[in-house]
Amino acid sequence: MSKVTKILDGKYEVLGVKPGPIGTFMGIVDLSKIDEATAERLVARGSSYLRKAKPSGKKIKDKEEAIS
Amino acid sequence: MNLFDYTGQIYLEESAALNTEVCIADYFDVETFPALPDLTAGTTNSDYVDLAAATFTMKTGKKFHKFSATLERNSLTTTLEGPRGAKSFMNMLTIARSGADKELVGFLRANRNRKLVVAFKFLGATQYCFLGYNELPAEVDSGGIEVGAEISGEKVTNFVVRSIFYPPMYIDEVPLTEAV
Repeated sequence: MSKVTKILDGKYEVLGVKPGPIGTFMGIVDLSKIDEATAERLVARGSSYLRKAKPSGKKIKDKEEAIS
Repeated sequence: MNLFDYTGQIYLEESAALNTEVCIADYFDVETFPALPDLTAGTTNSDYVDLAAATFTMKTGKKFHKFSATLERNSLTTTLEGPRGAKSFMNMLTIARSGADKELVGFLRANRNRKLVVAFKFLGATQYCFLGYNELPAEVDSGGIEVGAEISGEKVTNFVVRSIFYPPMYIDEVPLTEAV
């Protein structure tokens, strides 16, 4: 599972599958239609198909420059 | 494989019956099956059947497909078969949908001889169970269409999926969207 697709404005990443329905502990959840609260529940539960995106290096650098 | 206590925890949501949604994949669409438990490393009974976050890696463009059955029609029978000292599991999952339209008849025609992997949930459960594994695919054992003569009679399409050797294995998630 290598290919990653960003969802929810890049805040979360779908792993190895197209953003679409996954059978989960909550029932069938469509990763292309979920909100952040649902994404957070799935990530907290250790979903194999969804993870939180790491902040990009550029954004961190921009933040650091803004602070200094 | 060690012997552990069974403490008989009570689950207040315990119930018979299966969920109506069943997930069905072609055995040959699975690229890699989830790893089975390490039988030397278990520390509880459930460790021998719970694959937790392990995943089915499907071939590119392939996925599990949904089959919407009818409530209180699906059922599971798992039995231990074989001679003393060599017992093996045999699992029979009955999937039934009220009706006998061309979609259902076509489904039977298309899949009656297919090697399968089938995932389902016990009613109220959070994890899926699945039948069919690498080199041990599940297959349709029997099935058909029943239409009663009277309007008060039965009208149902059903098929029974059979798998052997392993018990139903538990897994957290099933991909119903195409692998990329």
